[in-house]
Amino acid sequence: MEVTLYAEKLFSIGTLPVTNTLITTLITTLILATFAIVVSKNVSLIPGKLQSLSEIVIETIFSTIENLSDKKRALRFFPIVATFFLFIFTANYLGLLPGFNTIGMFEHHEGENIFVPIFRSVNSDLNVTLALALISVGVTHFYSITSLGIIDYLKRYFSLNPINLFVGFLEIIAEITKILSLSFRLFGNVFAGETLLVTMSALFAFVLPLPFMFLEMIVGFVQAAIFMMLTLVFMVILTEKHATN
Amino acid sequence: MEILKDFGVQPILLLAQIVNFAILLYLLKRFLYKPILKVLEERRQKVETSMKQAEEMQKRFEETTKKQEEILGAARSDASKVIEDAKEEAKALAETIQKESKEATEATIKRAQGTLELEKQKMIAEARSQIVEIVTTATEKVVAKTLKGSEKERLIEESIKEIQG
Repeated sequence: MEVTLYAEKLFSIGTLPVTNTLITTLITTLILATFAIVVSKNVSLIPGKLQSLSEIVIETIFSTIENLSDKKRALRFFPIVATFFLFIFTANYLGLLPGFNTIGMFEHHEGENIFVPIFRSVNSDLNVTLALALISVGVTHFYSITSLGIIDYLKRYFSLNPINLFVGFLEIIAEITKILSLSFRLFGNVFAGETLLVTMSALFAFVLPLPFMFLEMIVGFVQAAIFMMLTLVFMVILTEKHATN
Repeated sequence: MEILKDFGVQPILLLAQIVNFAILLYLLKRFLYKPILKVLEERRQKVETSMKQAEEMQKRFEETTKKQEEILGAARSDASKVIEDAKEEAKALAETIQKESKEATEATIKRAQGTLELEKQKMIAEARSQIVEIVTTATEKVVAKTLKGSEKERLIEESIKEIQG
């Protein structure tokens, strides 16, 4: 039993191949959406338990953004940044539940019996992390254009001054690198954790995986926080009006 | 791009994930962030206004206390002034009364003395006239036997003069 690099296809709807990570993505979305709707049903000045929990999370994230930028930008950045954190965090913790990578079926593939799990941790699929990174960088550039104006935005990358032109060229490469680093960091961490847990369970299924479980809980939180903070910092930097020389 | 195939990246799956994330973003924004942020802001404003109100109340209370003290001080000085005035007045009144009564007493005493003097004089006069009469009669009775008419008259007159003098 081993974890493949790609998410396994379970079946397909039309041209859309339904992979096991797509299913867990939908589950994650469903959980968060249900939570949100339940909380929104009775929002009051005197909070209940669920509202208190969401208030703590939202206020912490909001004040983090506000400390790095200002109130106006915090209101703009908050939804996307908070959603990154909540989605990745929920997905990572969901991936630690029993049943992930263990419940599945054997499929005949090229004369071999291959185990295909039904549930696979969301972020151990590069499709997901690449999508998140693309959204992160895309939205960052969108905010950069809308808050600086198209001319100031382009000035960052193109200039008549050869030195600045070269710096601008490096900036373009940095933007591409951002997508790769964001997606592969998250994917690598979660995939490694997944593999580690599967391997440990294969060695000895009782008690032995527990310490690694705790490790993965830390990694799950830290990776979500890192993705959120990096997106936030990129957004703040690219919307900063820097002194034009 | 071969490496992306190894990782199982497919454009349609990528698109599905992006759409999914967009939907999640919308749902969370609509149902979680907006109401919670609104409630947080509301609470912040409420706390702010109540803090302001509390501060105002404290201020007003301090002002009232100050005013009260001022009024009390003014009242106290007024009262002491009134008391002082009253004391002075009373003193003056007492003095005048004393003076008046003294004068009255003196006048009464004087009057009494005057009457007494008058009475005394009267009594003296009366006594004198009585004495004169008695002496006259006594002298008449004594002298009548020894003295003659003209001498008698002279003697009487002399003695009367003596008595009167």
